[in-house]
Amino acid sequence: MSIKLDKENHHFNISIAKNLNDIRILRSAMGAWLEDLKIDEFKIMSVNLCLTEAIYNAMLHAYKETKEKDKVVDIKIKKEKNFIEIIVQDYGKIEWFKNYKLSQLKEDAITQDHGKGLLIVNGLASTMEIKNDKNKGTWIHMRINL
Amino acid sequence: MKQKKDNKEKGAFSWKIKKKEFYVDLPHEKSSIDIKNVSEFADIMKKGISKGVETIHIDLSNLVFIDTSGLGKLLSFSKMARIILYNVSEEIKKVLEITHLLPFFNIK
Repeated sequence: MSIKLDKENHHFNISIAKNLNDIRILRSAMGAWLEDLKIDEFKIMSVNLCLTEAIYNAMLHAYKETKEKDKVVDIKIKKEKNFIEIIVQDYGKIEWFKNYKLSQLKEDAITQDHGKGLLIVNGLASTMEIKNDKNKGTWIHMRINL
Repeated sequence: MKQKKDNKEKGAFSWKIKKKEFYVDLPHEKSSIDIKNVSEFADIMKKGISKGVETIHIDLSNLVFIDTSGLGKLLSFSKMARIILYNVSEEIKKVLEITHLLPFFNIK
């Protein structure tokens, strides 16, 4: 997989399958793209962390009972003047979002090794919204201020 | 008895043990601890634990990215030994803070 994010272009649609290398490649391409746009290091890490955690969330929870080849996550990235908007969409059968509760995530973060992903997104993004449609799947919509 | 052992391998986490203290360094500049290499990181940490160390010192000066798998492992090991993190960037500190993990580590 090779990803090139052009600094002239501020809107991308990317599909990735369950491949850990793809996530690293995407993260590295995002980092290079945002560096070119003179975004500071902390913001780059915030964007990449939100993106990574939303993808893991889809891979680990939504696709728990899905065949490997069908595990696809669609990502939309759009940069506006003062923020970046990211949508991570899965088509998994598990409705993981039904168990999503911020207070429980805070508890899990301290007592469990897992359950920190959405807590991170919630802490770093200025807005986060989870939506579901039976025919379109589930998507996490987040905005990170730049 | 004085114990001292070094392990340095290109592109890998390196470690050193001195008495009951275990020292871990990250592989290179701009390192990540993520789902891709977290088991390698955990193996190194287990080495220290299995040798009965009381304190694990981790230099994070080269760390530019840590995800939930890395944070989860750090939390697990903080229950087995005292963990001291050195050269923690403001970015990583903020991540530890929002995940409520800051109190589990000594930060220097």
